[in-house]
Amino acid sequence: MDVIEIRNVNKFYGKKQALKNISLTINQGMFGLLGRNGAGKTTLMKTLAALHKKRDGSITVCGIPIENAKEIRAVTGYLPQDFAMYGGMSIYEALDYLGALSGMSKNLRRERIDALLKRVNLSEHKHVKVKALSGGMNRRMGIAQALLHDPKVLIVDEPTAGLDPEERIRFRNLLCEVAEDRIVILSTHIVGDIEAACEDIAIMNDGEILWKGTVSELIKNAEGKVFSVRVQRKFLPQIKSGYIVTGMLMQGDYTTVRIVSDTEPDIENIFPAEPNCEDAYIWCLHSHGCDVYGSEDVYGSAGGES
Amino acid sequence: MFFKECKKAVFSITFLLYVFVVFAMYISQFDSDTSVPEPAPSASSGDYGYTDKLIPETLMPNAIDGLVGEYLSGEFTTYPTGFYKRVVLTEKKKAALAAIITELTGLTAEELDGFEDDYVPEGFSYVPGENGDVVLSYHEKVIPEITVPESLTYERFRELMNEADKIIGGGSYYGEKGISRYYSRVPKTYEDALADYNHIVYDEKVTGAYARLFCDYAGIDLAVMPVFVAAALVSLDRKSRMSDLIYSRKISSLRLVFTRFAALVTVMLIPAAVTVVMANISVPSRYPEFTVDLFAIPKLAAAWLIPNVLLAAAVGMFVTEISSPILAVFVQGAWWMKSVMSADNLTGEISPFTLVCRHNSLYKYAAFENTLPQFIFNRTFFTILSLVLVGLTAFVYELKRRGIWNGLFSSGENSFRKSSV
Amino acid sequence: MDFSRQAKIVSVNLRYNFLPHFAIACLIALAVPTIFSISSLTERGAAQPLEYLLSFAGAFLLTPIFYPEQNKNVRDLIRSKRTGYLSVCFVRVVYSAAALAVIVGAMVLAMKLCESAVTWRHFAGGYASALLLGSVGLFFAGASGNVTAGYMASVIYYLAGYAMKEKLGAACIFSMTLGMDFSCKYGSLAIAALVTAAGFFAVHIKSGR
Repeated sequence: MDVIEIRNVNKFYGKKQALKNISLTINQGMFGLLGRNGAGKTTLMKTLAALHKKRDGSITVCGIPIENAKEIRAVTGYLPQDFAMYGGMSIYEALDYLGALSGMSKNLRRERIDALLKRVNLSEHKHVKVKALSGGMNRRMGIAQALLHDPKVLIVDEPTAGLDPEERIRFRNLLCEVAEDRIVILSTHIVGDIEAACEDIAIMNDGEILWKGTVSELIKNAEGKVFSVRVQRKFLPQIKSGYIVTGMLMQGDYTTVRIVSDTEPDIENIFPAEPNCEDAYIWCLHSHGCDVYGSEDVYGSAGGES
Repeated sequence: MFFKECKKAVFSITFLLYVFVVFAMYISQFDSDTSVPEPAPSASSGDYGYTDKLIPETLMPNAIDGLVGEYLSGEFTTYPTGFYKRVVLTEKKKAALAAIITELTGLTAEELDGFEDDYVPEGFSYVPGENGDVVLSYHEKVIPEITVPESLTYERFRELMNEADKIIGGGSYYGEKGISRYYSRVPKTYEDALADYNHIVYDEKVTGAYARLFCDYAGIDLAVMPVFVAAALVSLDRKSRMSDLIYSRKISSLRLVFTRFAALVTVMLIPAAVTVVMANISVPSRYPEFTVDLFAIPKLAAAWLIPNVLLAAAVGMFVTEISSPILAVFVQGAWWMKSVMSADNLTGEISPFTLVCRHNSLYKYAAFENTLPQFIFNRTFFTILSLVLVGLTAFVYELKRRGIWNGLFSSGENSFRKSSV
Repeated sequence: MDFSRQAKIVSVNLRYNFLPHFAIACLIALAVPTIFSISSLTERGAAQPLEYLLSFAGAFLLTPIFYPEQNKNVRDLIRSKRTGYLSVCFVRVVYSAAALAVIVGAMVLAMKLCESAVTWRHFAGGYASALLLGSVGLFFAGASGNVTAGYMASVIYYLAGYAMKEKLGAACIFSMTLGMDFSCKYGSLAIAALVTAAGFFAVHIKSGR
């Protein structure tokens, strides 16, 4: 069976430790890697794609040790965070070239490119220059190139960043389809992507795996830790400074606030609420000692989806 | 944002190399030039160096001698673009030149050819080679004694020489520049030398003369090196392009591009300014007994050097924006090469459209003063040209922002997707 | 072996990553007769246009070897494919060096036709100088990840040769014009090869971090 085994992997950039003793087992289907910007997601992804060297530990992808870069690259497809290609080429030419680099024969390339362009809805644009593509088209072309040589493992780094909501949903669905018969590893700082698409997830922070499990386990962990309260707007600053706020809904002079807290906050009329994925993520970060008070990053990403 | 751009420019390898070149140039060229001693009375000629003076009586026979000599040898040395070029004339041109020589010397073409017959055996000698065969060995050709006809006026002489220069193809010893460069060198007299010296130390307060020499050296590197820094900054990877977009939502392309330009020019002028200060300390220290004008070097440097930096930075930004940093380097590099290589007169005579102005001497103030209006026009022209180029850069940037145009032959590096806006 | 695949890689690179640079190199070659004379030159005089100007054709052909992947994302994408990135770059060096040989060869031939005293040494020596100047650009562009810095390094190297002349020994690209021993050129060639290898090594280290 196809599986990725990561055991005790460490990596340094100079003195800074980018990956701290990472151990993970990734099975077929969608696997989500969630974390703030700079948590080490991209480093881990690049290490899995054999683009970066680890310092120690072991990684095998479908039984192939990561040190065997050529074979690893034959079974993995990689879509970088910001997919870019020589701008003067047309979509078809670029895919043809990348296919040749992947060692595909001419006939196989032609066959696969046509099929994939149809699948990602780019057939009509195949003569458009790469530099003239819109963000969504660019990302779709990116996924097409990553799938070109029919890899067993697909590694996609922050694929939905910068897409509008409609394109983001379409892209997520495409990934889910792809994940039916292979391993897809998806990194994101947007909770919504994970919630909608992944079963297994891992949360990274500061180079470490904070938590791993399923989405429902994550939500279960946060049960009894989420509260909701309707307060006058003027109390908002006070609440924000004392508690972790995961959501706000303005209604005239009043605001409904979602709070994540270990114990029930001492606020009038507060009641427990069902945790959603976002609350659970924030709770997970908080319970592992991460500073989430007023962290723009956390709110930014969480707010982006809600 | 201005300071952010400055920071981006400063923390780049190209800027580091730029600083290296500016200081290397200063130390190796300008700083190694020593001071001029006060001339002491002395008897032999040539002790005080040479100066250029057009003295028809000595100049005319010397130049005609030279022309006849080259005519007889059949080869002409020319420097059409500052580099040596050997010219061999066709029969037709040779005949035309013979006609000029006839008017200059009174010798007919036949007589000239006769000279050749007569003199060649003396000009060449045959020596036995190693294997016993005969090897032609070339010696200085013996030139017939030439008398300049008394009827030949100096004006007519110059006209004929210019014609000869044209026949040869330009850049010979006999054109306007050739004559003044090769046939007007006369030894300075003690009085000349003293007058020059006094002019430097009193009229120009030392620094006035050194200012020109300083700008001459500094202007060479400042006319090309900024293009690298500018091109590198503009072509930074797309990540920084994204941050541009954040700016450009708030401010116009025009402001963005001009701010970047101003930042680039500012940081690049800093090392140049440091060398100005260094020169302003080192020059007066060589002349401790004189009052110096501490503003002469900074003033001339500002007028002379800032346009160089402006232009090279503007070309770098503009060409990189429309195409690629590589083309920017090529365009400015070629222009600079052409300008530096073809500078056949390094003192004064600054023409209106020379990119790199030269004045490689402490002397010859008169030549500089003569072309001062051209110099002022030149510097103003390049300043305005730079600003126009920066304006055009902003326009192209705006087109790209709107996704109307993606630039010429740009690769993935510089492409600027519509989506990013 | 599937040669159509290799042919594809070469043809795409020739078209997108070579032609513009080759065009510039040709422009430099065409500029030579406008600045220098190429006719009736003595043996030493004939070295001047080759070493002083045509050597820049080498800088413009070799410096941009890593340029198409200067953007880290493009580089990661190319590196994620089975074909080794550095082997693609090596192919670029090979055809660029071949094109340079053609340019220098054509120039020497043109000089020969114009009755300059050129020999195979002019070809080999001019070629070695161009390769050396180009390799310096290649190294700096690769090590700094910035193609402009590569060109700048070439120009500085050129000026250093201009200023220091014989003191640079085999590392001086003007050795023929200066009348130095021809064996200097073997040294130049060796230095060029070493510096090119160092450039590849720097890119390998940088991108594999």
